[in-house]
Amino acid sequence: MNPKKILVVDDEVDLVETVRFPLEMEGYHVLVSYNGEDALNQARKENPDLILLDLMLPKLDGYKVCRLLKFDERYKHIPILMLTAKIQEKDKVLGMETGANEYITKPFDMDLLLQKVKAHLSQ
Amino acid sequence: MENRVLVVDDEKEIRVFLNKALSRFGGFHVDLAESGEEALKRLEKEPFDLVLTDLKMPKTDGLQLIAEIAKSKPETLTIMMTGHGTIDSALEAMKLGASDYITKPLNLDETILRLRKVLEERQRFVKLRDFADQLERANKELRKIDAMKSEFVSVASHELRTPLAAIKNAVQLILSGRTGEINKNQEKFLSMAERNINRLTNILNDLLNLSRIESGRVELKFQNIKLKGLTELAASSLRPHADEKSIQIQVEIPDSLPAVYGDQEKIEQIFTNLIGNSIKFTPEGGKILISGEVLSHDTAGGYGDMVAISVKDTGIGIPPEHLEAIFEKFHQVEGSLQRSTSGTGLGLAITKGLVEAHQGKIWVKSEMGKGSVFTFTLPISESERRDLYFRFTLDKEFHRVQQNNAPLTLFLFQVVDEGGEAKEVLLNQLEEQVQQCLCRKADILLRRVKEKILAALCEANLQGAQVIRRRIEEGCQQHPLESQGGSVHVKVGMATYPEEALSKAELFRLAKERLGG
Repeated sequence: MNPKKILVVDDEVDLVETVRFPLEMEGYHVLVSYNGEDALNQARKENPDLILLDLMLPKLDGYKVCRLLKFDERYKHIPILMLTAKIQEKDKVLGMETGANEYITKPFDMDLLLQKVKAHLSQ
Repeated sequence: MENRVLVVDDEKEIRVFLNKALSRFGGFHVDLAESGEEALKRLEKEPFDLVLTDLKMPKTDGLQLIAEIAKSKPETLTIMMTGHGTIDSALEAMKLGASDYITKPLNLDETILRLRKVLEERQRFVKLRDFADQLERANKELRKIDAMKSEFVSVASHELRTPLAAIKNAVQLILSGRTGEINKNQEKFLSMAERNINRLTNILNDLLNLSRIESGRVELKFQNIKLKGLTELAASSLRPHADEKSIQIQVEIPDSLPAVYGDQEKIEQIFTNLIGNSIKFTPEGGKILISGEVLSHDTAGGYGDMVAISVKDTGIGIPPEHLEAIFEKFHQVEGSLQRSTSGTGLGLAITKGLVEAHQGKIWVKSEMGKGSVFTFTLPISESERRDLYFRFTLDKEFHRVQQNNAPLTLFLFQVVDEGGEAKEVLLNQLEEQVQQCLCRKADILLRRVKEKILAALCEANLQGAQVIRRRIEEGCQQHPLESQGGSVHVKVGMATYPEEALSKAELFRLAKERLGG
């Protein structure tokens, strides 16, 4: 069986690396994107099994990327976990309204993130 | 600087006289105009502090001139000169905007005095106005800075969070052994790093919270809340921490404590902060007691408006010199336990902010080595206030009648509506009827509780009470309560102290028992 494909989107290179590493160790195939536009393109081209999506992104922000995917019949099944440094309640509400499956605030617990990834992939 | 005065009069002698007098004896800089039109032209060209004008002049008269100046040169003061017997014109002039008037023939001393007085007054006014302007500007500036501060905190907290996330991930990666085996010392220090990353995250969260509270941007979702359940919840979520130090947490909030009006989440946060603090500063084997009561009459400034909740511990206590400052940001008592590993120094500031957002107050009493008591107040929900007032007054009345062996009658009314639709409306109607039947007595107490109305009547003996009861029943028959379909009747229960029962509980029991009768 092919390994599950996960797209990690964040404009912070270091953060992407610290997330990519344990995911790859868990045996996932990790794709990386540093801006919203590229993330959208890759998502459409690669059709990943799950997306870890930062909110504040250059070019196209996370809300928009999420909405564009979630309102598209072809991609709306892909679980999207929002990773964000915004912790206000209203941001959370906004994030959920765009159809994100989870809303995780930075900094997060690595084990918790891996658990959630696993849970969403097995659904 | 000498004041510039423009004298307007069509009589040459008066102009000459005033010119000399005012400049020589008054120290004013004087200019002259022989008509209203000329005066207006002069005023267009240069500013004057004051215009002293005659009333009767050809074409533009004094009144017109004053009105014009009030409109186009509001900074310029005007004084009207009138002859005897033209006091009406003088008053008219004042209405139009003149500061004062003087009567002819002119008295030199008086004229100078009046001019000076009016000018001084203006000067004081200008000074005050400038001062107010300055304050307004400063205030505006401060508000701007405050908004900037909040914005800064919000942005900073966000910007710091991202690198913090990368650090945390990296540390956790190494700690988890995913990057290879680590030795005991490496684990110890990486764990230390992880702990402090978490602490830093807490500080960021608290900072953001506090900044929102301080700038009044915290949104409260108000509802009626029973504190007992909420307190138990907060206590049980903290029990694992307390158990580590064998600290006992006891919640002694009576069921009867009225509901408060507040935001559930925020009140829970208040409890969590205070109980958490107590756990932190209480040595092994200690005890934390949470209690609540309605604030008594004299301390609350209005009976039954607030409940007071206390969190009492057997902790190390707070030095007296710190009691004042303990609610300030980043204030931590030196040498306090565990300084290095926990606490953001913002918890109590946030707690205070949350209590105050509920219109409550918070204070602390402490004794070194014995423990501290934090007490805060929350507003009682509106619907229970009335209830509470009733209970309080009834208690008082009961106590009074017991002492004097005087009678007190308790009525219990219930609407029985077979249709069951319009209870609230029916209760309103019933309450009105009851009030009408009892209205000759001044001190009736009325309370609505669920589908019943309780009324207590002082100094009505058993016979009197029975008469009243019959009257209410008859009243209800003659003026039937209007229900939407179905049949309605009213049940009345009644008991009177001292003829029938001996205690308040008995009184209630008896009234209830007879409700069917």
